[in-house]
Formats: sequence, C-alpha cells, structure tokens
Amino acid sequence: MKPELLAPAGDLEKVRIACLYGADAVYIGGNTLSLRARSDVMEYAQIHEAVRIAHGYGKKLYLAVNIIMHEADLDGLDEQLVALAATGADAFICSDPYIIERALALTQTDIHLSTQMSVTNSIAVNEWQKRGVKRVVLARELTISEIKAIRQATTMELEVFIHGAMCSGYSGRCTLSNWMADRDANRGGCAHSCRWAYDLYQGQTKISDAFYLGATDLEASDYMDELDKIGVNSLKIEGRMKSVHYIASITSAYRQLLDDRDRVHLQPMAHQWLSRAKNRPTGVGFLGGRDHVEQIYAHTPLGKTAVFVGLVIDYDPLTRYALVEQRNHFRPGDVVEILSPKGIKGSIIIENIINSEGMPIDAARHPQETVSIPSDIVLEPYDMLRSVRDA
Amino acid sequence: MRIVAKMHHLTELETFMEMNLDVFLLETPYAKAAKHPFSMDDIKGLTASVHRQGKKVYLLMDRMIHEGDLSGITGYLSEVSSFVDGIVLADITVAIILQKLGAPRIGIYQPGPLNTHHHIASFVQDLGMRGWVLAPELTLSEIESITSVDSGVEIGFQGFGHIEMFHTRRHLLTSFFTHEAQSFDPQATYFLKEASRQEYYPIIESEEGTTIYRPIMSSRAYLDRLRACIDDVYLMRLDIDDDTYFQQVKAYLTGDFSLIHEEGYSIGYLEKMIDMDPEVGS
Repeated sequence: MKPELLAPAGDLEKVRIACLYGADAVYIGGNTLSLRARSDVMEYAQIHEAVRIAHGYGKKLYLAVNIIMHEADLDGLDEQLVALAATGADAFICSDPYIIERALALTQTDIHLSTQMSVTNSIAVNEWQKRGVKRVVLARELTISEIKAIRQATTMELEVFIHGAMCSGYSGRCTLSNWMADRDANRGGCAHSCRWAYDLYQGQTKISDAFYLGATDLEASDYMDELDKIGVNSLKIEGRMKSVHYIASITSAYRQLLDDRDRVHLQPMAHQWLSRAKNRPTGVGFLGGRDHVEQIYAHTPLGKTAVFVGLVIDYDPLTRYALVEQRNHFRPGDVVEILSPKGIKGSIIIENIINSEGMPIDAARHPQETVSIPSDIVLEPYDMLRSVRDA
Repeated sequence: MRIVAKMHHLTELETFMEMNLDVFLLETPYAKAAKHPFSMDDIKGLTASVHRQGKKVYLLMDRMIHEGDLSGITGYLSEVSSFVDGIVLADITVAIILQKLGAPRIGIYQPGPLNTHHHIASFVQDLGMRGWVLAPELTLSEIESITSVDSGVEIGFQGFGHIEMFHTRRHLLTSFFTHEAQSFDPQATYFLKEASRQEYYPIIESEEGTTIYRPIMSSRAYLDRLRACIDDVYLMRLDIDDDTYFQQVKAYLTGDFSLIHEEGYSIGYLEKMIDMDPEVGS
C-alpha cells in the first residue's frame, strides 16, 4: 500500500489547496494547544470547517496538539480536547504525555506522537504503541537504515518527514529561543535562533563571526522509492506557515513521485518542481547517513525560482478568459507557468489584463484584486499562475 | 535535599568524601558530550567506596538512544543496574530497558525542557523510575507549584553551572572547520557569542553530536526555598575549573557562600517568566 502524503495547512484556503494538489491528509494547528501558536491558530469553528473540507475531498485532517504544557496551561485541557475531538478530526498529533493520556481517556480520536518527542528507536516506538498511540512521527535525526530497522521491529504506523525546514537540534529539547529571545519553543514561540550568525571563539580568540547552527531544509525526493519499499505509512511535508503556492508546489511534486510507477525517471524533474517553491538550500538530512557537511545552513537565502502571481477563481471556455486573484505583481507580456492539481499545464503569455470594471490595465499591482486574463489553455479554479525565472 | 556533584577523576573521591557529598554523578559512555567517562571497573569500585560512606552514586546516560545503541546499552544496563543508585536519562528508552531487565527503580528522567508540570510525575512513575529532573526553564513559583503536589517520586533541579540549551546529532564544529578548510582541534575549548550579548556559550562536539550550553547559573539565593521542595540539586561542572567547582560544591553542601565569588552568574529562569504565545515573525 502506498504511503500517505501528509501536507501542512495554516488556514482554510491552504487546507483546500493541499487536498486539491494531492495530499491524502492535511495537518493544522489545534487551537491554542498547537505549536506555532497564534500565527496560524484556528478556532473550533474553523477547525470544524477544515475537517469538513478535507473529508469532502475524501482526505483526512489531523490536528497538532503538540505544546509542552506548564502548570498554568493545565486548566481547561479536558474541555479543549473534547471540543477538538468534536470537530471530527481524524487524529491529534501530541507530544506531552499528559495530553496523550487525557486524549485517550476522553476521546476516540487517534493519537499520533509528534516528532517533538524525538523517538529514535523501536523500543520507544513499541512503548508508545503499548500506551495507545496509533502512529509515531519519527525523529528527523534518523538515517534510512535506522528507519528500516525500526520498521522491521514494530507494527506501529510510522511517519517520516520528507520536506521542509527542520530543527537542527533534537526536536522538543532545544531552548535556544527561550534563552535568546524569551520565547518558549515548546509553546509555539520558536524564534529560530539556530539560524542566527554567532561568533565562534577558540579559547579567547575569535575565529569567525559567521557560525551557524541551523540545518538546510530537507528534500527527500530521492528517497521516495526507498521509503515506500521500507513500508513507512506516512510522508510528511513541513510548513504550516508557508504560502498556498508552496503547499501546492511541494504537495503536487511529491504526489506525482508517489503515483508514477516509473519514479526514477521523474526524479530529475521533481527537483525542478520542488525548486519552484524553495528559498533556502536543501539537503537530504540524515536520510543519507551522518555526513553532516552539507547539512549546515550557512548561506544567504536563494532567490525563488518562481513567483506566485495569481490564483484562478474561474474560467469561461467561451470567451477563454480566466478570472484571477492577484497574489504578486504581474503585467502584460509576462510569461507565466500554470500549476494545476494535475501538474504543470504549460505556460502562457499574459496578453492583456482587464480589471473588475472591465478596463484594461498596465499591471495587476494590488494584492488580491480580481482581474481577467485571456488563456488558450483551459484553466480551472485553484490553478496557479507563476512567473518562472529559469523556465 | 541532596547535593549531586559531578566527579571527573578517581583522584577526586577523597575531596568529595571530605565534603560529605551526598550523590556522586559519574559520566558513562552513554552520556551526552562525555569528556570523563568512567570504566565499568571504576564505577564498581567507586560505588563500593561511596556506599560504605552511606552516600549515593548516579550514572549519567543522557544520550538519545538510536537503534544501533540498543544491544550495547541493554548489556551495559544489565550490569550497572544492580549496584548504582540512580541513572540519569534523557530518553525513555533507557527506562523501558531497565523495566524489562527487572531492575530496581533507579531511572531519573531528565529530558531537558520537557518536564514542566506535575502530571509528568505519573508518567515517570509508570515507567518505573525513581525520579525526575525539572526543566531548567521553570520559574521558582512554577517549581513550587509542581512540587506542592505529592507525586511519590523524587524531584531534581539543575541548580548550578552551564545548563544545556541545544543538542544536535550533527557535528557542527567539524562541519564548520571543513567548510572553512581549517582544522578542528577536538582538545580545544570553544565558545559561541551572539553579537548583541555579553555572554559566552560553551559548545562541545563529541562523536554523537554537538551540545551548546547557557552561561553559568546559580541558585544559591533560592536555596532555602529549593530545599523545601527539591530532593536533588545538581551542580553542573562543564567548563568550570576544578577549584571553583569544589568551592561551589562545598558551599552548596554547607550553605556557607561567604568565600564564593559569583559575579556574572545568572539566576537562570527562576524569576523569569517567558512568553508562551508571542507573535512569531517567520
């Protein structure tokens, strides 16, 4: 059985995009019990709607309930868990052993153990299974052979990260942000202090002012075949706070890799597809072993190879005009590539742009303004237009 | 309240005995960033000597346990679990193995920032452990709130020294020096500094990864309140010269800090509540 493709979402639009672009399941923040608190938090009604959207597409919806609680957070936990379960979510992704205990006692919702607990071996995996956990999201420090060894020693569902930003340290155990920025990483406040430049001293002598702790982002497209063969149950994309274009691009690329039997031939193209949404260097993390040299994030950000300029709202096949919501500046003459849930449809030249009053304009420069553009390629709602630098 | 101090060499036994130290903490090959691991024979010998004085020995086994470690650590635990008093662990795998071995309750759960509320005690108890060490990021009032609940397991706190704030499986120093085409001296002492702060963070690389520590903290001003609620206060030793460390241990044991100079030491988080829910910028 093919592994599940699990995509992130920070709002309802992203839930829909993730489902349309090929995710089998989507994870979102579970109210205030989620890391990334406030930034992408959804209230219960929104969570309920997210579940409805995902289920409507025949997909699953998981809730991150992965804070590490302090004494002051304990009040009301039971009520929150019951309310979250009532949204119909398919699983809670948890770290705190007490949240897991209460969720198991109070709800029928499946429990997935978050990577924040840094599970690195089969003994720990089996212990969590004994405790009622349905799935473990393995630590991102594992090599492919370690994942394989764990798979052989357990019947637990296993989830592995395949793409996105990664903690450099063992997840859940880093307090750099707490110390450097007074922000509790385990309660949604990570300030990414691992990506700052530090001075490095040898004894009393300063030897560098550019020492970085952070890891390059993960890109595991070359490991899809192996992860599939090993029998990993779920492949996870990181990035609840990323854009709809990021979610669509990355999810769609991995979807195609998972679905195509001749995966090996798609892999070179997959790198290009994935690069469309990339703005940091990527590597294979620990999947390739413990060769760390290429894993350290020590470079200036890359320029994106694609800029998301518009989301298709509607298309009239008679007039061959598409109604588009602007997401970034574009103008007549620009060449845009069309990303759709079925893959890349091709490219068009923007011949003209008509505003909502029916007047031609020299550029779509206002965020989220609705404009019409002609397209000989048949477009559909939720197709994305992007200008591509290396097309 | 017991004082737990870290021993680096066999020759220090007499010094600590004279101080009437309560608990001797020894590094093992399964300790994170181990610089002074003791051999099995030394641990056996030391434990016998320490027990004769009515004191305790804890072993530090706080590495993350990967699949390839399981066989070795199981054998190691089956040997040491019969005679030491405590095993300080960061990965519950160690506790699970101890349970499977039918070992006595000797595990002490110290996973860094994860022990933040009183319900963790029942998790610890359920895994057959004797105690847990509170997250170093707790305020004193949080500590008092947690410990006001009778948990039935012992509670520890890291009360002095450089406290860990980051641990990775990556070899960050080796990577840096390789990238810079320079040579990494594993015997040298390295520190990090953030440009806007006047403080230094020790960074240590060992075979199993890289660890970074906060500046030295001291809880001496709060000892009376800690004494009322904490069973074990751990005095960390990393990057502290021997004489200074011995003076500190003695002061914590006697309560006499008159000869102690602590300029520049912080109080950690004891009075510092940090933001739970800030605006995250990226």
